[in-house]
Amino acid sequence: MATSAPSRRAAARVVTAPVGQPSGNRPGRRSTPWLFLAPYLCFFGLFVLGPALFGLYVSLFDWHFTFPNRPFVGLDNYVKLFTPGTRDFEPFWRSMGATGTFTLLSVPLLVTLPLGVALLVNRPFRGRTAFRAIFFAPYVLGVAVVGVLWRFMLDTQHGIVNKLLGMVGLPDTTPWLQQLPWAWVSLVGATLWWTLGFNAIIYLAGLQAIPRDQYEAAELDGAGRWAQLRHVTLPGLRPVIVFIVMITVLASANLFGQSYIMTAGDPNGATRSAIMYMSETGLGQFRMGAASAMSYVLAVVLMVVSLLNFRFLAARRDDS
Amino acid sequence: MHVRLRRIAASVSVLTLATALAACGGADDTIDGTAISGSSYDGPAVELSFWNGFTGADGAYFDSMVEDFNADNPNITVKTTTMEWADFYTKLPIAVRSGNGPDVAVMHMDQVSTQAAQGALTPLDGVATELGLQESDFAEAVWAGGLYQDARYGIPLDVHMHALYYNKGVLEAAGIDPDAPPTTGAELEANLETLKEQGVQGMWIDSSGWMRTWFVALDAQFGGQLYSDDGATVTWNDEAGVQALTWMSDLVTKGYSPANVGQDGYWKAFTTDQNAYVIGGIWEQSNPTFDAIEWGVAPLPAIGDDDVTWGSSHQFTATTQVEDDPDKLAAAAYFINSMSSDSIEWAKANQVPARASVRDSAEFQALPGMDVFGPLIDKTVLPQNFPGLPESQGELEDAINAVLLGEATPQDALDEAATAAQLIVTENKSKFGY
Repeated sequence: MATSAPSRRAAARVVTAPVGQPSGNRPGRRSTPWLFLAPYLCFFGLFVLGPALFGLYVSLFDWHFTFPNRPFVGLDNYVKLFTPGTRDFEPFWRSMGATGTFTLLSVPLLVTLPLGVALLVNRPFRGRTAFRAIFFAPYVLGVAVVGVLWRFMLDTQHGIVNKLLGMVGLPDTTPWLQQLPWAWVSLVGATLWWTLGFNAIIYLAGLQAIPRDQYEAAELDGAGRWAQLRHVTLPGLRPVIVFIVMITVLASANLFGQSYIMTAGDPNGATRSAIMYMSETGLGQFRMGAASAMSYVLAVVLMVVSLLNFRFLAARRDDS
Repeated sequence: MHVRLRRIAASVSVLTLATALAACGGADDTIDGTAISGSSYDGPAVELSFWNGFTGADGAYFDSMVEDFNADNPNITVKTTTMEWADFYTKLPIAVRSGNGPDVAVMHMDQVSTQAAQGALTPLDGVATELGLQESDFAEAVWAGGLYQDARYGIPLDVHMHALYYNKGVLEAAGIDPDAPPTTGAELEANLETLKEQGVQGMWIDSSGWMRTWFVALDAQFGGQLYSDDGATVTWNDEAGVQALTWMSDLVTKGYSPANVGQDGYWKAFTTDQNAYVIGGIWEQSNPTFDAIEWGVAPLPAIGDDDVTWGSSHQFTATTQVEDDPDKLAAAAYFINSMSSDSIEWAKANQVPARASVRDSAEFQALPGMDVFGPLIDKTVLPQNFPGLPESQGELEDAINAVLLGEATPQDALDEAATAAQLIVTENKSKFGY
């Protein structure tokens, strides 16, 4: 949001300038902003809005991909999701719970640790660029690579992690991927390693946007390092933090690849995420109606969470 | 190597050509005016799109068989697409519906009815008749596995099954005769006890979804099966199922396996001389990591009442894409018959040919390991063949996982899984109408 806010203002200037000119009555000027937006809107409509609306439509049918007969069932797919004893009730809400657990565990770490990293690599020191690159590097890997890599390293009997722990005299039989809570520790840890760099880069951009004179003024007022962090850096970063919390919650709620590859949803389905269950339902069993209804339920939950985030964090901004 | 393979293929196809001709009375009959023949294709040049899921070492064998076929038949070009089985089964019905799918495909027999019910496959009864394929040439269950609602959709290619692999080095070090593999559960356990006394955990087991195949074998040994004969009721939580899962979890509780073994950890331990016994598929014989050890393979011991084993079958199918193109259908029929008769080549990729005529050949019997696996075709419990059944097996895999991790007792876990799976089976039964 730190990066998008100024550009939005710039865009607003471009759009309002001709309207403000008395001689600006060239034909088609009302369509000008739309023309600028057209390329984006085309793709947005084709790949986001269109499929989303189609999904809403599909969720009202017993929609089996390969069956010519796809009867209209109204809200039945939704009602079933809230009716105990139906096929999807227990596994769906269990998978929603798993996604919620992962989000609660991963978001605080993915919001705070990258800030620390960004503060560190924002200071001038030799090899700073190299460190920035190292922290960011895992992000360029695909989730399949990350998942397989960690699955090998975390293997209970043959993985390097337990081998190394054993060499320094620590327990070497930790079931990293088989048992709780270790499976969550592994999934959150791998995700942290993987995406920490991305959040850190955004923080870094935010830090560099804070005017230096604010720090100088604070220093003249006798503020130490800690006071500068609390009263200059954090308030200056607030819009960035709001943005990071929002995108991290959404990214964590989309957990799929890590648990699909590292734990396969084990133990006993405890790490099977909502997206995993939806893809199994829709793409594995072709029950697109039910799967679409599930994704709308997840979408509504995420909208509420995002609104709460925004309310909570934005309100605090007004106080100061 | 290649030249040799082709020469063998040629001689075998001459042989089967003769049998095929003899079987259908020496005449090439027609369906809807199209010449369908197991021995040749005389129509205009066609291209057949062919899908399979042989992503392992077996894929190379299959590719070379297809290459040979293309070289021998200039007017048919077979284009192969290989992908993971999981992707294969989800993509196939959609791709066929949009006309971008395969014309011919190989799939597991428990998927034939599901795919047929989804309208992806075309019946091959006419083809089977014209080709003179007869039940007597195939193992009974394999032949029946290609049927859905009394119509034939699958032409069996092979049967693959589990057996007991043993690490001779580990056994010898513990003073156990490596050349006398156990034939009963008691003998196996006595050996495991001996190994345990020497500090060796002799039969590792993990908690992955693959353990379902071990369970199916043991369940059948104790006299059970996953579903009732009509495919309507989940029965894996009966006494046999509980006995099977108890035996599996005892491997951990009795100390024959470490707890919490990582996925495929038992193979890693086996090939590094830490593990003595593994229940594994026939295809493992070509596992390159076996080169490092001295190993043997034997039929599963009778752990339950009967020494049966888990298995499945690959079957050839033609999709609805060829229905409206008589030339493609004729070419597909010829291709399927040709590959199925050449299944001795396929046997070298470690699969047991479905055709008795190929299994009876001296060449097949000379292949390493086939003295063990060939006869197992009569001991192999094949999957029950109803559309949608595979969807319910995730519940069973969860139950096995929970028990092997020590989270639940076999009876409780299997009961819970059966209740959840029954909802799926009941829904699918009415959806697919069987």
